[in-house]
Amino acid sequence: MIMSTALPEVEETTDLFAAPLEPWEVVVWNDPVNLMSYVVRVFRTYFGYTTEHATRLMLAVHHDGHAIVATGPRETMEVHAQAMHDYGLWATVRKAA
Amino acid sequence: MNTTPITVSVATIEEMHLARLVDDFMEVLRASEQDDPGVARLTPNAYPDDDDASAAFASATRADLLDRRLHDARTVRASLQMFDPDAEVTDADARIPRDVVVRRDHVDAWLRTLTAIRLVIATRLGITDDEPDVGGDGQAVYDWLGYRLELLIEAVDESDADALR
Repeated sequence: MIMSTALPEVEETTDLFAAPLEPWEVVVWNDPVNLMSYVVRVFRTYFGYTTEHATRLMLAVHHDGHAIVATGPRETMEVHAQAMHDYGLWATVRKAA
Repeated sequence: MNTTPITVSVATIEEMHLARLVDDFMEVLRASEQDDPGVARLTPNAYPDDDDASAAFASATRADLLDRRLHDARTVRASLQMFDPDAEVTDADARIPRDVVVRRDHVDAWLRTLTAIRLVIATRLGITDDEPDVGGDGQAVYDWLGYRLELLIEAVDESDADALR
């Protein structure tokens, strides 16, 4: 049997895992204005979280004063923070501890 | 995708109030003064511990963020009636209910706008508590908007759940 499928040439230098990206995170802070149902809905519809997970995060914001709602590359976290600001949530970006 | 519009029944007087609030809000956005705490609350500092990153983020996002608020507000305003600001409304007329139809693709604009207006009012009134007690017309408007927003969220969440059944 003849293998006719050409294998793609892989460059030795393209090692995605050589320098792991430093993780960043989006933190949402408690505020006295935003409704609990609203915050749950934003987490659910924007991030695609389940109602249960979104509710847990909302309660963490409410009781602990803040919650980490997303972790990943800095640029992505800045996009998420902007989206949270669009919804009127008080979000900040920081390097993951 | 769920395309069912949300219908909200509001009294004429409520719709007039809402239209006026949205108009006022658009004025605040157009002015978007640097030292307006209400506008500041709509454009939070993403890097409170890093002045350079904070300034870079603000210059990259602030204007667009406020443009999007204006766009949202226009969408909401367009679903409300035009009112003559000098028109006299009788008590009977004021109570007449009307169905305001919120298109599904306008739901986020509605939620964000009602939220943003509440944030600006809260900033103006100095509300710092979950159960504020500042009193006056200001808090009455703030509480009423919260009630309306809560009803809208309930209706949209319910409609989402129905669509999944």
